[in-house]
Amino acid sequence: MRLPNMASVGFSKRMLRRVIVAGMALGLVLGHSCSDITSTTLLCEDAAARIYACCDRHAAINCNESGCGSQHPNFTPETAKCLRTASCAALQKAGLCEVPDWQFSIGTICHDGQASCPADFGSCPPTLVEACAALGRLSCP
Amino acid sequence: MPVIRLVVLMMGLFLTEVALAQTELPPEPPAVPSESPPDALVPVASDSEVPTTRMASPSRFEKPKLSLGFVAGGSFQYLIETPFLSGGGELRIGALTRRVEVTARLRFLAGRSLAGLVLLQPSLTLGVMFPVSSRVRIGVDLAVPPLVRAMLIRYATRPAWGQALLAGVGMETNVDIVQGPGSRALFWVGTLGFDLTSVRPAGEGKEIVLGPNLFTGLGYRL
Repeated sequence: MRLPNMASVGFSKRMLRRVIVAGMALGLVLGHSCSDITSTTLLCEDAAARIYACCDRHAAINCNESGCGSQHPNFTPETAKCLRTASCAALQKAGLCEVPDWQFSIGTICHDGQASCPADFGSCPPTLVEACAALGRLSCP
Repeated sequence: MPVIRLVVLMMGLFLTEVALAQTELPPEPPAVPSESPPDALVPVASDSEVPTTRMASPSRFEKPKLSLGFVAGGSFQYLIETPFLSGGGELRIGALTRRVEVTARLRFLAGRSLAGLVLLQPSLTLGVMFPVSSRVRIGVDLAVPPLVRAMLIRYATRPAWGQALLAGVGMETNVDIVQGPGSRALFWVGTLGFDLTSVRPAGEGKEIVLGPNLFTGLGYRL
């Protein structure tokens, strides 16, 4: 019968101890670090800050998100990323400062500047058509 | 996500190594070389060869000195797909020996995202720095529990603040530009690290996000 090498036993014990300590540290780090911000909210707020900074007058923007899914930010993450990187001149030229309403209803599809509202049998309110057209002029999704 | 998991695992292992390094002392060197036979003739120094001045023996239990410093600088942080630029100051209080400097750092930064969101970033971290030459120290800046880095983000669309608590680790370099009497010095600070936090990606669930954190500034150590 071969006895286990004392050095290898010590090594495995040390490794086990290190793994346990690392696991506890990792759990503590992940439990400790948290955020009450959703990523969609932050991106929407960032885009809204850009519009507010570039436009003297602007429509209200909603970036609040409820957990029940009844309220969504006005800008999707892709749209928000597009808006926040645009210059003020580009935003103004596209007519984003003159958009009267950013309150897209749930299910509104805005693609290549064309708005579609399936919940309203395909037709959208004129304010949303204008908002979608402005985003299209900026080449935003 | 596999990349994030790998980085988080590496950070955990790194922190473990740091923790174990604090508890494991290096083995004592042998007092007599084992190669010399016991009956070997060893030259005996005469009284005249004994140095008359007593050498200061390095003490293992050197009494640490108080370390107090101030740093002013700027930071670039990229978190939740958003870049932030901020600036501010830091107070460092701790202990300094010839081998290590351990300081608690209270930092307050204020800034904006590149699109314009206002950001406040208070933090309490731990710095462990090791001298590598007369002017250069390298080490780590730890923001691990119970220490924390916070991000307070002023929303643009409503009067409210969003908050994020971050944990992170950074590699830091200090270079003394001008040295004064004692440990006084004007020094440059550069830190490159990573912070992580957990967010709800779309209102539900949790996702760990990881982002770089770069800090640089000038400090004065008293």
